[in-house]
Amino acid sequence: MCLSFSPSTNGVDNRIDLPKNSETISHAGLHDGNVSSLFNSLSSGTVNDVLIDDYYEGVYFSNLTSNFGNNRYGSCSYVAMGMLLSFYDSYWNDLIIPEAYDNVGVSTFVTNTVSNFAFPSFYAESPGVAFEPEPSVEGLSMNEYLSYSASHSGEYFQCKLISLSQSYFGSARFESEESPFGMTFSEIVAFMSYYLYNYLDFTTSQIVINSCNSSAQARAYTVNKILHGTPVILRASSPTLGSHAFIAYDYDVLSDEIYVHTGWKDDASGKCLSHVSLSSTGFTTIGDAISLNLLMEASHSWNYVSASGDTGCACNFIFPQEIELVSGDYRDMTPRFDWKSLFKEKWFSSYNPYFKVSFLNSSSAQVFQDNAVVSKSYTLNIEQWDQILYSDHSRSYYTCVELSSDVYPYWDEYYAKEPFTKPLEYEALPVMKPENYGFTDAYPVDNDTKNNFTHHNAGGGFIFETRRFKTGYIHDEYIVMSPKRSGVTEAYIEYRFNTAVTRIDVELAHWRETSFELLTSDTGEAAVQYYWENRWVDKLDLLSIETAMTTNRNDHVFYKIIFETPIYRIRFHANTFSANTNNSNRGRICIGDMAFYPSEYSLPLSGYELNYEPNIWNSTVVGQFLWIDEYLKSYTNCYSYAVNAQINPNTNSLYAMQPGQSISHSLTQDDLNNPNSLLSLIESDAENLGFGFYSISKYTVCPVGTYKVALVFDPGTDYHWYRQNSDGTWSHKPGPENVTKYDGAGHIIMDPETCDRTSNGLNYSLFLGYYAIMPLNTQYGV
Amino acid sequence: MEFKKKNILPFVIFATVISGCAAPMRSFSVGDKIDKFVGEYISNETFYQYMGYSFVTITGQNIVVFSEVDSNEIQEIEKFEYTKPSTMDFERIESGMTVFEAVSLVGIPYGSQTSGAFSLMFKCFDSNQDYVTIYFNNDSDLHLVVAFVSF
Repeated sequence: MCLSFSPSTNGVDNRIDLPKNSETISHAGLHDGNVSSLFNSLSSGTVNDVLIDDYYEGVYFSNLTSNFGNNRYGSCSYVAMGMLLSFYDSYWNDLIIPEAYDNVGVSTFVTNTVSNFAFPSFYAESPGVAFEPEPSVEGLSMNEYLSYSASHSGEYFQCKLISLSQSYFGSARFESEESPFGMTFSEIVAFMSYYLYNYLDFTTSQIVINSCNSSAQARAYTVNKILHGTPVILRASSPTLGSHAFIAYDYDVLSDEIYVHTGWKDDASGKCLSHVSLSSTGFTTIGDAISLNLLMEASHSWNYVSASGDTGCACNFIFPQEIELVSGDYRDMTPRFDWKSLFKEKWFSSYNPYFKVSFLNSSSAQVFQDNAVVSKSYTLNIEQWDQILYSDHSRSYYTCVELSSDVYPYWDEYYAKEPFTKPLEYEALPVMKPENYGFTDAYPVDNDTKNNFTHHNAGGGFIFETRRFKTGYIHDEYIVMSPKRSGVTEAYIEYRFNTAVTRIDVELAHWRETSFELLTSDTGEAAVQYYWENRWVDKLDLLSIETAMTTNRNDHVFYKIIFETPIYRIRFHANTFSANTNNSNRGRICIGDMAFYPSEYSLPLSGYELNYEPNIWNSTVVGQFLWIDEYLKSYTNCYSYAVNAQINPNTNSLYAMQPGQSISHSLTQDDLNNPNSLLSLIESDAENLGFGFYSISKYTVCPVGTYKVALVFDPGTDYHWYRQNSDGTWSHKPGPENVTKYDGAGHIIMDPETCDRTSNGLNYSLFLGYYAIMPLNTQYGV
Repeated sequence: MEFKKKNILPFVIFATVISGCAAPMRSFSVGDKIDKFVGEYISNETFYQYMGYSFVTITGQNIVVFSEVDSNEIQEIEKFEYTKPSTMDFERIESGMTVFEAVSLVGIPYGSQTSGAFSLMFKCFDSNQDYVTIYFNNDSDLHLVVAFVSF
């Protein structure tokens, strides 16, 4: 049965009818050898281990490691009562324990320099109560202890409770050496009532004692209270250790585990079991539970005292503290920041407090702010994280959490601000580090290095190739381009990716001051370029004022380079405008770690792909009439385009090709109904005309001299071809119409297998495969 | 089904109107300049070119012209009375027929849908399918000849 318990009167008659159904006496104490062994075997959690962390109960009890009474002669119920009352004394009303018993210990504080205000740290020892020094009661007989308590009842709160209990229960109650101070559930409730309503003169309109003495319901009662910020005196039994009174104040929702303060401490070692799971103590049989419900308005209790004499109230824990990066610290992982604050506590619930979370660059200039955060955690999205990483060239940034309220605007000075360092590493993306290229410490100028690609693996299946000129791995530091030296005016390193990338992040720097290196926008050019439609296109000007590439190569400044369309080929290129006469390597530009953002497209280039030059198909005039042009495109089709044959090799004339034409086959309806028939005809053409036509995986690099084409089919209606361009995109020629790199939906074709293959009302839905072919190159007019 | 070359409705209206007109037609014959023919009719909505053939309907006549690429001369020209072909007309199309023979039966084409195969689309006036595709091959003289009809 769970109920609210209060006396029928508030008079002097302190003898009340007691609940009868729980006669278990709680008395487990450290004097018991078995309890002592248990105490020594367990380790306590801290405030960082608290799971229900929105309420003061978790902060208070996990940090209550010293300031509470000693467990002597089965006094665990008094210890628990003292702890619970001390909680409310700091939490809600400073009169719940008389001022004479307030602890005057020192707690750690944090200082907000902006507001010049110090307040308790989340690691501050909880105020608790003044307690009897352990050596003073060590070895005392029960009578001596009773005598000590009586003589020190004006100093120590537990001594006061024991003295009060003697008055309440009568001295005869304390005759048993077996369990002199143990109490039943009923006795605890009654004595708590006596203390609050008789000794302190509170009323039931101010404080109500709630309890549950049904062992079947006490657990659920306790969990419900904890989840709402209310700690509970929880009495539980162990088969070997008897019964004990804990303070239950934390709960693991996932494991259904209650966490308790045991009331056990060893002042000599400083050990205190302030946060342990109930199950780990072995007291697994829950008996009953008692809690308080405070109905009066909260008032400040300035019970926290700093070493410098500052005082703090529990409500100060609403101010954010301890901003931590709790996720992995990687450039490609959006970070999560947690902080501590009891902003959901009942103190200021009417103010609807929330947070403004800001991220600042190294100069404390705001990068962005989210001004409506109602949790103690913030996870950045990719765009926000990028904003921070690339906000400036500094390695540091700040996270700032500011308490805010639309009702109470006076908290804006109370914020936490922590510096963090931008990470250099990547968690998941393929990354190439300079030392992994296998390059030597030299600036090669030989033709082999210049013309032939070298194979690399950046991890995660990301394969790429490079070829370079006047670029090497220098001094075990960076890949370095040096375009300025006698006889040389250019340096570059070219990358060809097996998988097209949508973005690269790359660390870049001048080798040193440009006044020594002598490569500036006045003397030359340097850029990150990508290959698109048959030419290198500047993407990032490395010598511009905007890029402001650092001249300190130890700065580790990254640049992000985003491509609108997936790109297979990039290069870093530098050149001088005029011939050079210096005999040492200058104009040096460092290329450091490079992270690749792979796209979904892995159709690697062979290097033998043809340029995408639609004009030579679309705009070539084959008939020069008076004023009407006749275009080549009208006499060619997709087959002609795939094998690059403007002149039909079967007829040696400008005429579109048809499968089987080389064997004088005329296309039939069966051919258009049966893809195998069509393939057989094309194979015959390939053999007779010599364009290869080998089936190949999309992921495979075509053999030397060949490039990929794709053959698709609209069953019963038509066939169609696509061919890969030198920049990795694909193009096609729909019948007599223009050559284009766009699909039926108007998108650039990156993969004919997945693109929109509708054209002129037909749908080439059947994908027959990729093939490597050699171009026929029978160009009109050549 | 859709096709790209033509807007059918204006053409039908236009063809219907001009079929009843008696506007004089400039006379073209073999040996005339092809660009003059094209220049005369290229703005006509029925005009269409495909693989050396030019098609147009004018003053109630379907005109077909063939000119080899690189040549500026009309090598073949034939005129047929404008008709509204039916399924039965298409069934009379046989493999090996020339483009001229096909047009004599089913009129001039509206365009081509296919990217690879040679084909022309024709309107069938009694068919729910509306359009019939005739596939072609080329002969040794690079003239199109009917391969098959696809209803």
